[in-house]
Amino acid sequence: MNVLLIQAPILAMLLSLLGSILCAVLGMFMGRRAVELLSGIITAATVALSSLALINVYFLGGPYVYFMGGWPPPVGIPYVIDRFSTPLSLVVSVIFFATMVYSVRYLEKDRDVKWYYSLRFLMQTGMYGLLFTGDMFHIFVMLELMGLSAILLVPFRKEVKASVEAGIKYGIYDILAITIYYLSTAMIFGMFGSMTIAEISAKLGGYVSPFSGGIFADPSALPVIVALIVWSFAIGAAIVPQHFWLPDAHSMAPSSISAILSGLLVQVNIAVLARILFDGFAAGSLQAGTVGLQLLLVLGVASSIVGSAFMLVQSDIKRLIAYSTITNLGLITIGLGVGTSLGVSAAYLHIINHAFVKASLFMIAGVFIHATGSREIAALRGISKALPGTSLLYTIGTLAAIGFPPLSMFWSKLLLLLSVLSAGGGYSYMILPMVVSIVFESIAQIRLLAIIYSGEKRPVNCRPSLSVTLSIGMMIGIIVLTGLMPNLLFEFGNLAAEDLLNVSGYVDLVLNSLNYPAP
Amino acid sequence: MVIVTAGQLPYILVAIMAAICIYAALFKSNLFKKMLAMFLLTDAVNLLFIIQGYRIGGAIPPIIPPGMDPSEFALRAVDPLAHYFVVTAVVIGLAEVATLTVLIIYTYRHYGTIETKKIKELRG
Repeated sequence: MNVLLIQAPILAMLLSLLGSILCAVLGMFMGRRAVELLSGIITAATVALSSLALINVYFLGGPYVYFMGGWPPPVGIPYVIDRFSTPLSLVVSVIFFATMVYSVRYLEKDRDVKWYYSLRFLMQTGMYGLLFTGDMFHIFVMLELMGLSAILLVPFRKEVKASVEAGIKYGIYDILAITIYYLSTAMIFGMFGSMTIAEISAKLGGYVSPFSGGIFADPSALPVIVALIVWSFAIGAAIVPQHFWLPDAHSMAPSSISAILSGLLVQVNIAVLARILFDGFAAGSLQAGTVGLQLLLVLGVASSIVGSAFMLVQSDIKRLIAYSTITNLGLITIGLGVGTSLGVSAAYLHIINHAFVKASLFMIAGVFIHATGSREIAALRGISKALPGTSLLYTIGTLAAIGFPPLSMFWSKLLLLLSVLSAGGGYSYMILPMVVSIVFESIAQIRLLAIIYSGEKRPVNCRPSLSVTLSIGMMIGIIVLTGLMPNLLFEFGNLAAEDLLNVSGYVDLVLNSLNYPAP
Repeated sequence: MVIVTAGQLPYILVAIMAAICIYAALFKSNLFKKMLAMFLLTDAVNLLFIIQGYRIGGAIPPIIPPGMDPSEFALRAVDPLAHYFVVTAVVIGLAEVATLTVLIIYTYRHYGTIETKKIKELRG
């Protein structure tokens, strides 16, 4: 295989790490335009590299494992580049590129933008690492990288009182979540003597490693570890009852950051949790994994109901969109919790579609807030007459969010409902809370649309510039296009679920593709 | 009656530390105490790693000497992987503390207090 093609995803990650350093250094000597130009070039390059990786995995070489620094798994860190992680990494790159274009004009009045771009690149590095890695401890390091940069970006406008409060709230709970995850990695180390997800999975099946032997402790304690891992990721992904930081953090951050937090950060947490549960603890076939899936189902039902109920009473547009994120994350966790191939592929598609929809909604909300100077929904009355183009884009985004038929999220919501029904038994009852939450969300979103289209034309402070409109248009274009090609979407979802659920294939890929150095 | 052996005592210490820290991080209202609790929780986990990597009589450096049997080596050397994890986690813990301290300082400048019960701009 071509060397560039093999290394493309790693290069994208290293390039964004380099971009983080370069932005901070360059910003000290040159103006903001230089920093913006540099970060624009680097994010565009990461999009190109992620697309190359996608083409390689799907059409040329198939899934493969990249050993960081050439060290094979028990010692080094394997990066698993398969059909589950690569499409998500392309989604990460595209959304970072769109928000990059958006934030050039959106942050025109803010100072110290070099730190903004620098931290953004750190967050991007953390996301690539989380999606690809096959090592439990590496997940901890990358969670810290992603979490700490996000914690510092939420109060980026540090002169605003409430944004600092949102930042400290998010900081305390996210760091607590990551520390609890660290506790569970220590327990896993004590039980398995290894941190590689594939080795954990293999040792549960009776494999004895030439380096670290078999299982050291009684695996009946494993459900406790799984519960700790689910708890820590449930805080990170804002699943009820650990959701209270999300509406504050996502509504007080700058809109370009809200788009990333809401569209990517929480979903990346869920994707990593799925990787650990399905590939590491063989969810569904082992008792430990089943405990994790049942926890996910219960939390998902609570999340979708609570999130959608709170949507009905919001008076702040960004808080409304943030609660919609909680609702949709609940639906995603229900899909994962069902654990069938259809459920996982539906959850996977919902992750991708929700990323684009939620990012574009937050970006347009930022335009509305700049134009009206207020975050209140009531202030949006008559905005459609003043900003007809942006309102049209917002309408398409909202229709996608509530699952209006030809748009992208309709297909994934349909698949989620079908997966619950086809799983049969007690799972069928899940359809009731799901439908209730979808109806509540639709009511809240349509009420917002009605306010936008009612009233007389109102004066606005500023109109969105061309680059802002283009970046939003790009996202909406992706939503419409993917909605028009459901077969392609289903194909992606099926292949991703196949790679995720094929535990023996995953273990073979990581453990057998290596040549142990002779002792 | 539960019988505790001497080998289990360090694990019980870690469990008590972790329980106190999680309680304090969730229910103390002072932000600085919350931060300290989380830092101590990281230390408790570090301790857990060190205990798990320890071998009684592990006196030789973790490099296989020529001619030694690997299984005998595993009994006589302390597990270096656990130390690697702890060193990484200590560095990361520094970043955590720096981040939270900055945020606590800004909170104090805006609100004049670091008691979470008195900071009520947002509704949660």
